[in-house]
Amino acid sequence: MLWYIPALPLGAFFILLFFGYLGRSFKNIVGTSFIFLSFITSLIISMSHWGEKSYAEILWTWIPKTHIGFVLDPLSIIMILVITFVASLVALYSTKFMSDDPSLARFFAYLNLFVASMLILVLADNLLLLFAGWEGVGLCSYLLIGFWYERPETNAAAHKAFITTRVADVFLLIGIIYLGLELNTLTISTALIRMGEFYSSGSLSAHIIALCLLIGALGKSAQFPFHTWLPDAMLGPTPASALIHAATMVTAGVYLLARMAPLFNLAPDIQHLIVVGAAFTLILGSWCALRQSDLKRVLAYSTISQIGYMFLALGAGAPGAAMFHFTTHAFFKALLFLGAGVIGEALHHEYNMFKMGGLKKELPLTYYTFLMGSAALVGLPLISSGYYSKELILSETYLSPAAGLVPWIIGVLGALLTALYVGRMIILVFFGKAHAPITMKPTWPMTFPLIILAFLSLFAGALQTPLLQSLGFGHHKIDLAVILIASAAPVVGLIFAYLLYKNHNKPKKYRDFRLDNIYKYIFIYPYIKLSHYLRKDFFIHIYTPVINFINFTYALLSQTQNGRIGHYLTVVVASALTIIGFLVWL
Amino acid sequence: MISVPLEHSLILAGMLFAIGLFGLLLRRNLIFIFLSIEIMLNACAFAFIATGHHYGQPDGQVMFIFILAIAAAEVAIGLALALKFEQIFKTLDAQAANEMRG
Amino acid sequence: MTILDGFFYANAILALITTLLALSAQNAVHGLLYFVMSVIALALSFYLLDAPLVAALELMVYAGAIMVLFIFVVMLLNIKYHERSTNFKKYLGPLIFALILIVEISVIISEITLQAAHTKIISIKDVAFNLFNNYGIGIEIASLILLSGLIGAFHLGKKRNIL
Repeated sequence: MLWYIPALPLGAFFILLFFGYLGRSFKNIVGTSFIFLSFITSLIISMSHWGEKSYAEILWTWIPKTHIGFVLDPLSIIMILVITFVASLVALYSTKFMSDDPSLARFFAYLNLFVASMLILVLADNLLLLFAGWEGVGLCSYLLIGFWYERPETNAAAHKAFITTRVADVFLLIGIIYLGLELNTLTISTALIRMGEFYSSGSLSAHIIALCLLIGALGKSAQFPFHTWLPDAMLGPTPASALIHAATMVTAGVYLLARMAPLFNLAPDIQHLIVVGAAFTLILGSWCALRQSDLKRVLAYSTISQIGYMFLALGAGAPGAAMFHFTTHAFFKALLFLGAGVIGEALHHEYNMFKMGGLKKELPLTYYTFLMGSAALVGLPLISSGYYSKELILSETYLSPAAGLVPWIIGVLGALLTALYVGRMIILVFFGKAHAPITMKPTWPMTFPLIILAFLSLFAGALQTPLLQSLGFGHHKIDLAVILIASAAPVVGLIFAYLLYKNHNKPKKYRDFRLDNIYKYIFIYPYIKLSHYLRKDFFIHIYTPVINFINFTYALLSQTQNGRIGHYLTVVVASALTIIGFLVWL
Repeated sequence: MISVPLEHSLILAGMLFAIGLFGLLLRRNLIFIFLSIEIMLNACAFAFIATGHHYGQPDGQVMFIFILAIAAAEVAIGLALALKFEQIFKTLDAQAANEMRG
Repeated sequence: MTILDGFFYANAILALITTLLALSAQNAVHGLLYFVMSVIALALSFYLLDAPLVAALELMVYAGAIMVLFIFVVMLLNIKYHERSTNFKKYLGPLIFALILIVEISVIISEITLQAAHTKIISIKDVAFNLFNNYGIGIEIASLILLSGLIGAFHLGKKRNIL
């Protein structure tokens, strides 16, 4: 029954591919119900296999030694539940959000294909199938970012996303192949067991494989140095951004590292590297988020920063904390993106925060749900789920041998900055004078997901702790002072935000640390120059005469088809006579 | 009844066929093209009959009946097409249908 | 060499001449009528070749139905008077092809070795027997061809607003 879970959205993809011309309600129903059915199936299967170590279903053999098989263990249970749940809500939301788009069928088709690929990725029992799902989500990300392909900047953004993650994927593939050659298997469970036998802690092979997998994960999860594609990916439709670039695809890297956690435990240097990179990324993301004027770009940088937190936990050797933060982040970030979509639709596709204001009165439901999502994002103590997950990460970081005090301090600073930019965002969007009138208020397909996600953003933290403990993730005991300082940081940050931004002053706008430009000069210009230079290599003298010859014979032969009946008759008679003459001669 | 050698009949048939061929390539009027085709069919039929007579077998005449049936069907459709042609191109000149540009 | 042989050769010459005249006619109806005359001449030849059934069929079907159909159609259309061109170049191509064909045919005829002739007279009963027993399939197929010709001609001849 396990294969139903990815097969249902895949079926929806094919149905929409072939029958996408049938009416709006058909598209809406097919686009959403299959994902929802997949969610129900995930629920049923998870509950029936709750607490088991793992449950595997092998479908058939693909290449010798790798099969198409799916595995269910606590890690993948969390993933499939969150993915299908958030995807169902996003699909419901987009029935209203994309209702006047002419390519609705294409959108739902891509959405379903994405969900199917992501589910294949998390349920795969071997690394090759995981890689197939990995590529699938990369493809769907490209398709969805470039959904409105008539705008040229959208195409550029989609290419940027795809090429950047592709470069990282090469390293992932190298890692997978190396692992397969060394351990003679690609099945994950077998590989993890053999790793323990073959590699001692600190062996070179383990480091190499871990490094390659890490680079692959960094690309897909938009961490430094591969983070440049995510802010530009906001040119896609907002529901796609909510699902892909907030809740699911960008967490594929987190899933990979969590799944291969025993490998990283064997490579402590790589864990140090992860911690360093994650710490840098989370400060970078928060810093840049503070300087954005576009609402969705703030959320994009916020995603970069929050995933940095997850990577911090992974580097600290606490994959449970990372997965906990993944679930809460999925809920509140999807909520924030959907809310941003409501705001954008209400103001007629305007996402510039300095042109918003005073929306608290006009869109009260959106305001309250957005507020709850933001509370979870900053991690307001005790009342939001984000608090619990972020606290867990910071505690694990403090206690971990691979991390320690300095990453913890950076994490707390990051929380401060998070509170700063979130506070700024809320003040600019919802308070103050209204600049633009509302053109559309949201209806139930858009508000219902917001309400559900808001509820989960507040309470999922408290609810999840016993759930996760029953699944096997535990807590450690820790100093009270550490917890108090970490809890105070968001509150302090919010107070600062209020003081700094209550007058809605417009700062100087610079968007990035100009990393884009550096990449352009290092990679892109030399490549273009080199390919230009190599245009006239010596092969051209080989195939140009062939082309000329083909053109010549074409010009010659096309004169026989001139449409003149007399000519045709003559040719027929002449050939008949020639054949007879040939026979006579014989 | 008669004892004309077979070669003579076949030469006659061949010459009739060649005349039909000549007309096919020469004339541009669609009706005359059809007429030339009929001439050629007739010549073939004559060849069949002559050979059948020479070998004393009825197969030649049987073949003639079939040729007749085919000629009838072909003429029917061909003339219907000629009517359509005239309707479209307002003329029966076969060169009028040269609509391709190389 | 009896008088019937002489009739045969006379018919042959008549057929050739009238066919040539049919081709070079200036009026379409004249050409068709010349061809009808050629068909009659050939029908007589068939009769001389001990095939009275075929002669009758040729006259009835070919000259009587097919050619009449031609004349009907010609009279429906308005065919212009055809000026014979004196440009020799126009005749050159077709003439060459016709001559090549005649040469080939004569080569074939002179090369083949014929078996001995039979002097059996074929009666109509023999023809009918052969047709319906050995060539029964041919009859069916011929009827199918005629059916398709009928349907095709009907469909093409219908009056339609668009083409």
